[in-house]
Amino acid sequence: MKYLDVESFRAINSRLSFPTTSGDRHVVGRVEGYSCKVAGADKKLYRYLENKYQEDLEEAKNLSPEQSSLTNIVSPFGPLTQSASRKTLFYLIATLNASFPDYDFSSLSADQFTKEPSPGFALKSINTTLLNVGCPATLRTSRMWDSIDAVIGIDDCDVYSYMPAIESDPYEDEGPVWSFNYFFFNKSLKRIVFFTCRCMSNLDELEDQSDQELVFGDFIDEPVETEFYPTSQHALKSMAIGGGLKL
Amino acid sequence: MAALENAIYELTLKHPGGLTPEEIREAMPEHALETIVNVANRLLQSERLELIEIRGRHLFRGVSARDIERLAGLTTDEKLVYKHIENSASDGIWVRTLKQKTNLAPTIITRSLKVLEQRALIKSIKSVKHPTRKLYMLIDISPSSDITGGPWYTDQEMDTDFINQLAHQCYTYIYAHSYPRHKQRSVYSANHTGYPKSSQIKRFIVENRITNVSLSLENIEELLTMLVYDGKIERIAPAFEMDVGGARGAGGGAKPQTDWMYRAVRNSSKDSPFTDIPCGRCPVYDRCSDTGTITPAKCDYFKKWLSF
Repeated sequence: MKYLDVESFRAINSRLSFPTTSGDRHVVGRVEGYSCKVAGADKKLYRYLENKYQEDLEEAKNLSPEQSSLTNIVSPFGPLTQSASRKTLFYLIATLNASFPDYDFSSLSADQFTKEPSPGFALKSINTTLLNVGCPATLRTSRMWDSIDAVIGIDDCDVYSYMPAIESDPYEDEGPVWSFNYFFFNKSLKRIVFFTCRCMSNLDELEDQSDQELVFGDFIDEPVETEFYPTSQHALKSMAIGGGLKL
Repeated sequence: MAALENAIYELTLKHPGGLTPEEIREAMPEHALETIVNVANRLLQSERLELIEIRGRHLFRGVSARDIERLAGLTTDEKLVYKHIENSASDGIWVRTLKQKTNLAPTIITRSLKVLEQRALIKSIKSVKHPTRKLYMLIDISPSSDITGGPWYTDQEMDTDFINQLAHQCYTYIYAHSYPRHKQRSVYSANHTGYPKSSQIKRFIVENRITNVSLSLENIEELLTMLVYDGKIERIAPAFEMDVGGARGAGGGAKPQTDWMYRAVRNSSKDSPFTDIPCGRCPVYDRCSDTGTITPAKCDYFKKWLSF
């Protein structure tokens, strides 16, 4: 898959990194464009996937009829018996490989992807998620979808979403609060726009720091101060004043 | 000079932990420290010695003939990548960890990995815990059981059939030794020690050739733990031994092993006819008596219960 360096995407990506309104988390996302040009390494991947499929077919023949009916996999790309569906799966896996260079997704199966009912559906879902979490005005006014549409023609796309099992999640070592991965695939243009985003808790950074070199003495047991109030009214007043409320 | 070079080289090969120049001098006090350092530096340049750093100390280490041949012609970056992969031994190293440790640019790392792979020095492997991570290790090392999953995984997939069958065999064996056979519903006395231990179960599996996969005692205990969590068997502590103190004193560094025994769980039925009577769940129980509107004679719940 050939990475397309789209100028407008660079601006979008710099705005796709922002803290949430709740203040204790931040969102990091990126939009990447790819052309479905098959390079050398991709060809190897395609041959590997085809081989795997053929082997699975062979194995399925050895199963009883009722077991093999389960393997007539109707994938979100169409029946896997059709090579066009397998080609789509290949493009998506190749995109993931290109976007996450430390990972190799060739062991993924079609059932870890879902097809969105329509591009508008995915758009609404992404917009709602980002707005709810407090995306900044700069992103909202950046005409992000117009830029994406210019590259990929959203209305003519099939939209797929990758829902990984925990161990296959490229964000597994960061432990995000949520994440999504959408592929906008335009068959006629032979292009994919990959929209990935994750939300991470700021507390995770603190945890990382404490992992490096625990020095005994860093944790000092300080006596916790407790104040005992004669009546609950006193307690309430004290809490209210402390919190800035007027009782 | 060549003789001294060879002598120092041979000496470092004998000490794989590395040697400081001072330590080398201790072995050959007839030479000045400066001479030794010069010769060592020459050996560094000809790549027969390498410089390593352990806890802030710099040491010279001899490079074995095999490694010299392997690393011949590699750039420093490629050698660095190779060293890190070598250090990861049977666990393998993730590409991302490689980037963090070497601080090299991603393109350089990818290219170095390609060169090393072409030279048949490293191979890429997959871990069962992180099937999408790109891991690399030396070509002639076998991946650890952490990565391959041990006997429970075949080709990166958990062999649930195998696990369940084997667990069932263990369970049958344990069940056969859990309760006395002569009388139904009887139980062994409280200090009975004849319940099977993990070593006995392992012997049973091996002697009966239940599987040709070789299993360690740890593997068997993993299976038994699974059965315990499934509620099928329970762990029983061995009877208290009075001479534990004496044994410990003699043992010294030995880890005290608990020889757990295992017994099959037999659930006693908690239902009995007494609990079936509708009065137990009757909402108007308090107002029921021999007289009045609410009596057992007119009870609807009884009618339903007695109609089977």
